[in-house]
Amino acid sequence: MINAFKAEWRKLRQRPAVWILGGILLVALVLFGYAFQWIQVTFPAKNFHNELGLTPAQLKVALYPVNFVKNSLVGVGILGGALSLILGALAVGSEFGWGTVKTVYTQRPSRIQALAGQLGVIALITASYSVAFFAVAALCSWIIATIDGQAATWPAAIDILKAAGASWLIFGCWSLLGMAFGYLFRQSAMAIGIGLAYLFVIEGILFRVLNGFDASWVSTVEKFFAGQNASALLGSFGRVFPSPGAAPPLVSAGEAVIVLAIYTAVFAAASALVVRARDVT
Amino acid sequence: MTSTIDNVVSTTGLTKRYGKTITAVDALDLEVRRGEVFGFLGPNGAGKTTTLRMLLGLIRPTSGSARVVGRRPGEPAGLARIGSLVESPAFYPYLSGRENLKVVADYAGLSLAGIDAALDEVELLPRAKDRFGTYSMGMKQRLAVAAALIKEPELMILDEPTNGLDPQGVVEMRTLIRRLGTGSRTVLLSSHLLNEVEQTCDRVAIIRKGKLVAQGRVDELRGQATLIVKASPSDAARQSLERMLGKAAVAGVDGTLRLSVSPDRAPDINAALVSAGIRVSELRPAERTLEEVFLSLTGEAA
Ligand SMILES: Nc1ncnc2c1ncn2[C@@H]1O[C@H](COP(=O)(O)OP(=O)(O)O)[C@@H](O)[C@H]1O
Ligand SMILES: [Mg+2]
Repeated sequence: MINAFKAEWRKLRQRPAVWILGGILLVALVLFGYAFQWIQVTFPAKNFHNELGLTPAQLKVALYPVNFVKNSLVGVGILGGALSLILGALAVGSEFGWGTVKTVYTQRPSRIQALAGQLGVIALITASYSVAFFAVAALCSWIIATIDGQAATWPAAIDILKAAGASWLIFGCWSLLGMAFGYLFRQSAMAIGIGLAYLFVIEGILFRVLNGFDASWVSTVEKFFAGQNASALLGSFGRVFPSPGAAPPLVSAGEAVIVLAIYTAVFAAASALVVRARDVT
Repeated sequence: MTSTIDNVVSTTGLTKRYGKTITAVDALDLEVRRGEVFGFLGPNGAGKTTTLRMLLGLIRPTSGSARVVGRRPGEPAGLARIGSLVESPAFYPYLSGRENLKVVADYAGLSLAGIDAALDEVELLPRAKDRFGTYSMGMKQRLAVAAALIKEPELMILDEPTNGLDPQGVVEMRTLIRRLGTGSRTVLLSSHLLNEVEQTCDRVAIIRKGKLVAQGRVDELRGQATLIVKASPSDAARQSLERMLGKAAVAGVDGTLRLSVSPDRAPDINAALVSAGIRVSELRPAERTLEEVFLSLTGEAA
């Protein structure tokens, strides 16, 4: 397993796509989480209007270090999830495209050992996405505070850790779905296509529509879906400016963590089943 | 089939079916002995690649069994001792040749120390820094051989390693294969080219439509050697040879006679013909080519 981990790490750390995906996440965070918001509140339009009735100066507090966790978490869910799913799908699917599965399976590790090494490296990369994400968010907030001449006060270390851990779990869960789809379809294009369709259409649009019906069975069903649990987990950290009347998170943070962990394990097991059963040609 | 300790590969009734209609490999019994260069010969679609995939544990047999280096196919301890190139070389296009070998070494649990020697052996050292994606077919094949070499394997499985190479590359690859086969290493080489197997192998198995047609030493399979005789007058020559060797042993067309006797008898035959007043202009041993063997066994040209 350690052999497979070393080999997989050598492959993926040199693969441009891995760092491009992480780069997209960070660039999106800098632009949408900080730069554009800062411009909006620093140079407000004449007809500036905020739904909560807050002034630009009040809104600016969101961009300061004390709020960097809450302010940046929004980007973890859909965008981070989608990029992680692509990561997993590419890591697996390309091996089929290049025919390198057979090269991997004829060296020494068993298929399960090879998979375990791969899971380990994906866990490492998604962890590094999560750490980089909050490091960059912290840096942006510090720069903005410095520009504004504000002293930097930071959230409690435990909250930062919890947020990084939650993000890692969410990234990891989606990347393992991408991997499972990669093994199932033996290519990346289909794995990415179906994975993103699920993420955006089922977990995104469908549940938003269903929520409009305000039926109790909707939330019962939602509790079983990975994306809804990810949203609940992120929601548990709270918003900088909570909107009155917003629905409380679907489930508690603890419950969401358990459901996501189960999904992660199920996706890994699904990969293992497919990997063991299939002929490699 | 008996399987002794010195069979590096032995299969018993090895069979692979795809669906109900395709039997890619049909009850194959193979024996590859330690230290030999073994040719696995058959036309395209005969089931060579399918067989090799089963030996490596890439696909599961429908029935039958195989032992490879004393292990079940695909067992880690066995795989560690096998170097293989099946169908086409597959590596990571964005990595250099050298990095690709490091990936293989990592998987196999080897130190990285032997990599440059292997690259040198296949004459890829000058291009070791270039991305695999930029390599020519010949370079890709040679990198695959280098990837097998770094494992210092006791068994090399090479599936049509000269496919897609230019004539120069073919010559180089065959030289390389012969070199790989020296010492105690066993090489299992599949090919659809008779002359390739003839040039490089000690023993050979011939398959057609998934079935074993023949297995044995290359010289055995070529069949009993024969003598070619040209003499005049040819009718008289024929008659006296038929008297001497029996009618069945003499065949001939257009004044060239083919005798199914050992070449050792050439001096006797020469003396007999000369003393009968027949002038012998040519007397030489002729071996059947593998091509002829193949034709007679499979009823089909390769
Ligand atoms: N995955 C597969 N599905 C269906 N048929 C296959 C598959 N792989 C090989 N075959 C068939 O099995 C036969 C043997 O193929 P192969 O082992 O590749 O032959 P060779 O390597 O001797 O050219 C061919 O008829 C081929 O079409
Ligand atoms: Mg083939």
